[in-house]
Amino acid sequence: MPKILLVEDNEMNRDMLSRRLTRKGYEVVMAFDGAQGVDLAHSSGPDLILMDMSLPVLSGWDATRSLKADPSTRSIPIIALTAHAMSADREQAVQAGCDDFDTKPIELSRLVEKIEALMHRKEQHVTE
Amino acid sequence: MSPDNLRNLKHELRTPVNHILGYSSLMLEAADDAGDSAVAGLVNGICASAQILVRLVEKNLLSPTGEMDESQLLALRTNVRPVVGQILDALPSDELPEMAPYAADLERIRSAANGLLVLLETAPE
Repeated sequence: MPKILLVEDNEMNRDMLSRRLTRKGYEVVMAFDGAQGVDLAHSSGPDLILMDMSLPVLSGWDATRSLKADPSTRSIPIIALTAHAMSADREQAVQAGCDDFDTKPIELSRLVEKIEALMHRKEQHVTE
Repeated sequence: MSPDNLRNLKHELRTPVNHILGYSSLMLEAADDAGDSAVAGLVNGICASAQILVRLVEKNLLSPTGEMDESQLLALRTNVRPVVGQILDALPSDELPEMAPYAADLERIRSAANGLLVLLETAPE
């Protein structure tokens, strides 16, 4: 069962999205802030990370940069979750090292498509 | 309304709106999986209203100048209040036996909708 690390500080957002993803067949591990997100990325071995960008302790941007700079976590795909859909925010997500970007409110089918595409890409990279 | 207050208002309004949409979507998925067409039919309407709310908040708070005046805030209140009212009216009672599995999520939607109304009324002008 693919494992997703969800890094989201808002309790209801975390609850809604984790339950919907679990229903879709993913195992979901949750972190409440950016620092915990970085710790769990190291310890829980997720196949993909969903990273809210507005996080306490360590922002989603900084958490992403930290994970992408570390050889042990660099290859984990990260999808930025943000309330902002403007191109500057997408650019910021790419510059921080995010592999993709999605906007809230979450449209689950769109998000799952992105998750599956990144996991498939990662598998192909591993087998080459 | 200053750009900072507008930015804060947008964020504050988005949160309960996203919760209404998210939990109603979750309930719809659960009802569909359970083959519960009666509940799915009820919740479908709430999801549709939640989508309208999302569009209203985005449209009414997309100010090119980065500011909002009193008339725009009044328009936002005028447009959003009836949609939230529709959602609250459409929420089935969680005391109905068929709604028992969904009681907690119904309460979250109700709480988010009421919270949204309070936010609108108390937004700084």
